[in-house]
Amino acid sequence: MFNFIFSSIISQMSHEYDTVAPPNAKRMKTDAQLELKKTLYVVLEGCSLETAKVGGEYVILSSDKHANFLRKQKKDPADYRPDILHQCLLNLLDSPLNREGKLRVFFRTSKNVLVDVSPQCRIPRTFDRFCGLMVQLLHKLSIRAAETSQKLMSVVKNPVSNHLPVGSRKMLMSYNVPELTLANKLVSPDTDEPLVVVIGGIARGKIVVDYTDSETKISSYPLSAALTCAKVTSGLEEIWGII
Amino acid sequence: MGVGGKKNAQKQKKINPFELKFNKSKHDILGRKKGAQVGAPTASRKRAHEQREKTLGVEYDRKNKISKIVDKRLGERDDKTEEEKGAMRFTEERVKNYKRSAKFNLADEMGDGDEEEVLTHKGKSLSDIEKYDKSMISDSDDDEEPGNLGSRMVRIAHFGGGEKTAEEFVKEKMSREDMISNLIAKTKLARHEKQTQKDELEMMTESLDAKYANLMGKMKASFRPTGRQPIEKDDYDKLAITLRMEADARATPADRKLTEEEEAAKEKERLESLEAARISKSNASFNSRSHVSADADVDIEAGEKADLRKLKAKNARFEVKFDGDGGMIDEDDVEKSRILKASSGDSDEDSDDDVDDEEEEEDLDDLMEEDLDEDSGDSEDSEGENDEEDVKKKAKKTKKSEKSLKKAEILDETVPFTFEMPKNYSKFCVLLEKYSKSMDLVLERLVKCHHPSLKEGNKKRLNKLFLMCLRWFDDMAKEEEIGEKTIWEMNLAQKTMFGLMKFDIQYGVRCVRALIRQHWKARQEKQTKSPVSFGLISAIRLVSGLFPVADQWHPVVVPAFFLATEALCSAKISNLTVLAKQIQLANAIVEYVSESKRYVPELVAFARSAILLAVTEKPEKFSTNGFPILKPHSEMLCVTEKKNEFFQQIFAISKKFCFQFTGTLSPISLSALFSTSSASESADSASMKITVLRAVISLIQHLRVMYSNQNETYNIVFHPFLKSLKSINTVFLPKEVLEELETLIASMSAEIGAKSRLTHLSLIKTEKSMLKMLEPRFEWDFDPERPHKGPKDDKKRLTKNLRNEKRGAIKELRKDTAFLARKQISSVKTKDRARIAATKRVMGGLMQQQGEWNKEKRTNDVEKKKTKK
Repeated sequence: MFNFIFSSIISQMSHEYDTVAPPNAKRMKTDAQLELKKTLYVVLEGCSLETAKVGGEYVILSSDKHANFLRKQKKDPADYRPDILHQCLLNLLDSPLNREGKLRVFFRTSKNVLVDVSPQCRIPRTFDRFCGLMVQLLHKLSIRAAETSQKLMSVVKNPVSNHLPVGSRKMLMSYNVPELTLANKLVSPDTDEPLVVVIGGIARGKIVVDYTDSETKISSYPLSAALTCAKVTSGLEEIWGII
Repeated sequence: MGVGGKKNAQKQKKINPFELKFNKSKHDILGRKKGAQVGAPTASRKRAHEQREKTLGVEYDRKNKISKIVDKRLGERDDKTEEEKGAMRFTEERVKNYKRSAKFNLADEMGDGDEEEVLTHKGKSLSDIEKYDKSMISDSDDDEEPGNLGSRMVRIAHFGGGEKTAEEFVKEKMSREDMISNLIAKTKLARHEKQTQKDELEMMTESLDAKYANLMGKMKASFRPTGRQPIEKDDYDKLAITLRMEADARATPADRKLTEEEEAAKEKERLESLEAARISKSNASFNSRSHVSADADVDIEAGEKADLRKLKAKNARFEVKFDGDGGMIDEDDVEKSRILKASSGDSDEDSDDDVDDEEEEEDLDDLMEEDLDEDSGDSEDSEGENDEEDVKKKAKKTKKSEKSLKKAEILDETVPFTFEMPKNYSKFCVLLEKYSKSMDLVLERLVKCHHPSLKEGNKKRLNKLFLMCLRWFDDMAKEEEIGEKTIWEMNLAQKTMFGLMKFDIQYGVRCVRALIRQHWKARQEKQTKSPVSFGLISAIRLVSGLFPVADQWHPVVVPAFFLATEALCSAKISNLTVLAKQIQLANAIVEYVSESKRYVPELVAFARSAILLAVTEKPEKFSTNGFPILKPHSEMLCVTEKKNEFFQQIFAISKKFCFQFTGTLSPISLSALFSTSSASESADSASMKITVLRAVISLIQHLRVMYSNQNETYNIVFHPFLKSLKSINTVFLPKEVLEELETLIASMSAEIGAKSRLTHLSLIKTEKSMLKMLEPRFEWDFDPERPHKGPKDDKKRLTKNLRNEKRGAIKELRKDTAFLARKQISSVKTKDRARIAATKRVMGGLMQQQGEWNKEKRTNDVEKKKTKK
């Protein structure tokens, strides 16, 4: 009898959240302490996501499609790589860590637009579709879910440190660091504290931010942004036992 | 010039700090046209001022000023003569016309502008052609209509009195009547002419037609026949017509269908005539009997067979129906119910009797007595005379029966066709004994002779017969020796009772219930743990033979069923004979539930315990309801040695399962089973063991087949069976039994395997709980220039526009007011300035004048002084 009631309650809950509540979901105040624990915050810095009106249409500028246009505007086409952001977001939001509700993602474009990505957002699989959605985002400033009115992406106010947990460890992923930390050693499994990882969504160069407290490298090889995202999430899954 | 231009450029380069205004752009999007980024506030203000000067300033200047009348008449303002004015007007008019209308006028271009257009037809002017002038003759069909009088006539008659010709002067003297008559005559003449023309035409047409017909008549033979031909009628048509005509005709009816009463009367008549013939024959000659009687017998037998068939057909359709209270629906006999009331005291309670109804607690013996009382009362009423005769006859009959059984044997060859209903049971027994070879005939004829439709009290008599049959049946079941004849007789009794049931079901139910109650009481009082008697088994079989056993609730079947199950589970099994008896009972119960497939736990428990007797290694837990636990008895079915000589007996006993009172049962086995004398001596012999084991196996097989539709419980019920069956020692079993056992095991295990898919109730297992991903809303017709498109947005946009416009208008109005104020004050200032200047000028003049005057005065004064001096 008890079991029955219990299962019915669970099923009711799952109707709302599918059992796992996203980290940004509204909850009771008593859970405030728990909320901060064991969550990975990923900030993708310097992503190139810029709209332009090319041939009467608004598009996300990308190096291979709009090279001529960019050259005409006296810009370097190599700087316009929205596909990096696309890959990163795919890797992050499809990770088991995210499905478990322990991941939050922000990204900041080279034009200083800060976007909060909801963990429930299903990123479009094709690049063109992604670009269309991003145009929509940059003009409407928010993207909602298809069926419900839930916000899946929204442009939020800078600086990003306002949205990060206070007192958390904030590390910047970099190649130019002497010591190497493996992805599955980023945090100790005993401590229940959130971790902020800043990854540059750029093709080349270095990210300089003021809110991080350390620089880390997780491989002795230079990694792409998407691969870094994958390594970090899988490492934390390993640490936190999400299989 | 060049220097000036340079200077100008330098001037432009010089930045005016008031002209510095930049429009801030929020979102810099590549490729989008930007609006003015730098503003020029003073320039735009100047432009606005100039615009206002042109519009509002002009209006302001004209304010409070009345306009004058301008005379635009030609030459009025200058002094000109009338002729000159006329010439001016004429030229003006010509110029105006020329300019406006003549530009695209083609006709004017060709000829003179003043000439009027003339429409022509074939070169003639239309007015020249007399279009509407019709002659009388030209209008062929209008001659009937009045009013078509020639133009001349019209001219004269309607517009007469104009110019006169010479003729008319002559005719003028004719009176008006003459003129009218003249007119009428003319018209008549015209009509007549027309008619003659028509007639001529008709005549000609007719003659032509006649000629054509004549010609066609000659040609006809060479043409192909066309149109409908008259068809010759063949046989089919005739038949169809006759069928159609005689559709309403009906077949002549055959012999009318006889009612039940009439049929019974006919049957009785026939039997009586046959009886008369028989008696006369037996009196006349014994030798020639064979021929005639053979003939008669054939006839009778044929009739009987037909009757039997009818009866069977009826019985097949015969159903006992009960209403909601359990009372019989088909209560056609009022009299019977009244008797029932009298007997049981309570009326309604009787019909919906439960198993333990106190009112109805009567045994078969009580019923017999009651019946006797009724009979005596009844006979006094109706058959006073017959009674005495009957008594005499019976006295004779009893004498006869006492005298000789041999004679009875002789007499049974010549069974009489009509019988009187025996008064009591002993007489009934005597009657049956008398015709012991052809009891069936006797009983059948008894029933036929007392068909309830023949006489008033026949129904009661038949009831009595039913009761007697039941008692006869019961007595036979109680007999010590059970032979083939007994079984046959019992079968006969059952058949008769079945036949009698259709006359009064209520009574039959009551009697059989009484029988069951008797058995029940007997068991409750003395033999609760004793094995079942043959009487009980036969009673239970009788119930299953007489009533529908598959009914959910039945006043007879249900008590009988309870009696049987009680007897099955309460009896103590001490030896093989008892077990065999119990198996017999179990088979009877199987027959009860074979159709309804009701689950009988007593039956299953019995079968399980029985098969355990054949197993040496018992399971740890098993129920022992009446079965022995201790070693020698608990293994009474274990076959340990081989015996072959009793195979025949095995077959005989194993046939018990198709035991239907048909007399196929081997007399040895039945008597051996139910005779009390030779009970336990030969009971434990090996052959008996095998036989009983086989019976048990067969019983289990029956159960398996019966309960095979119970998918859920099948495994639980039959799994223990399978275990026990598998552990039976098969070494010493004969081949047939072994085969049966193996088939049973095989089929049971197969069925258990097929039904092993049991799903246990369990908690619902949910999938790995994870965050639900949501598809983002993708707008296919997204317009970045209007990102918040939609019905809501339209309204929002409109309100914003309205607000902006309102604000702009208010701003403009304010600026207008400021402009006007500025203008006003400037005009006031100019006026003031002018006034001040004028005043200054005047004052200057005056002051000059004063100065001059003063000067003059001074000089005058000096001169005066000089002069004075």
